[in-house]
Amino acid sequence: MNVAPTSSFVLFPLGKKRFALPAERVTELARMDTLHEFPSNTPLVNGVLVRRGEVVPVYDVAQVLAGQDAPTRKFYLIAKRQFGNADERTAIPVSGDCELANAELLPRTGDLAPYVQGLLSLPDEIVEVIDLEKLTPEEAR
Amino acid sequence: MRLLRHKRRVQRPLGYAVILFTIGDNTFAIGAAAVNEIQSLQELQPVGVTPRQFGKVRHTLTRDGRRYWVVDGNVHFGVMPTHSTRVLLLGPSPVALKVDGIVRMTEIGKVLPLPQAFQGDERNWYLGLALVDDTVVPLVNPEVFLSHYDLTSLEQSFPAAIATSDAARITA
Repeated sequence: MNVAPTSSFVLFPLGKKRFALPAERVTELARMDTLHEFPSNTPLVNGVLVRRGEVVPVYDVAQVLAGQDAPTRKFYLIAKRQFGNADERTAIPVSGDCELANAELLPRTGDLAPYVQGLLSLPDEIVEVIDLEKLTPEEAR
Repeated sequence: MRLLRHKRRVQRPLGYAVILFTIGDNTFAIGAAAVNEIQSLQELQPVGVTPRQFGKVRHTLTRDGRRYWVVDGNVHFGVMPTHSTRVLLLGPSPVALKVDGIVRMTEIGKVLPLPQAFQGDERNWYLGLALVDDTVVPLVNPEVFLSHYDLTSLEQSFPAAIATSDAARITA
């Protein structure tokens, strides 16, 4: 009997929907912390956190994934984004508890946004797996 | 025989002197070595209508016979208009920066690189980030307010406005 290969994903809520990131890209779940803001004009990057002496940029993807009515964010999911050959930790504000799930990554279908890497078929929902490198503000819903 | 004792040196973090200033709700740091002088706005001279690319330059200030082009910090950093009260005269280029106020002079121990997530104009604006009193403060790059090309273009566009305030002071 062939068993489909499964991988680990971190599910995170943004409003009424949940999304997922590959677990190997996630390093930490943190409480809301002081957001240090300063002028910049990079879309979606709101400021930085200081985590144990490290400056971590805050990448608010809710505007793209949940639209303008994105709910209050309660936690930061800290994940790795790739820039060239290097990874950089990024804090993603999420609106509730996160969950680890093992599931098979199903291929994306044609109508999905380019930042959707694939789909997870869970008992009660289909969850989009997000590719942070392809998430751009132009994709705002 | 006399024993030579080496005095134990106290290890102090390498300090980098900066001036903290504000524009709106934002606090910035700029290397103290880049600031020649801090002035009030009294001696600013309006330059009239500047070409669109120099929209952030609305005034000049003449000091010791040298004309400084005053960059509006709000426009440069894209901050909503606020109440400016001070001008930082920078060097070696004849550039000044209009800001809301000066907080104080201090020393920072370490400049952290701006994270790669920041991909906009801020990559030019800032030399890095510093922690001052548990607050992250961007360290401003003093060399990017106006380029050499900008300064040459401004000088060519406004050749007549020469040292007016100094001339007035001498006459008086």
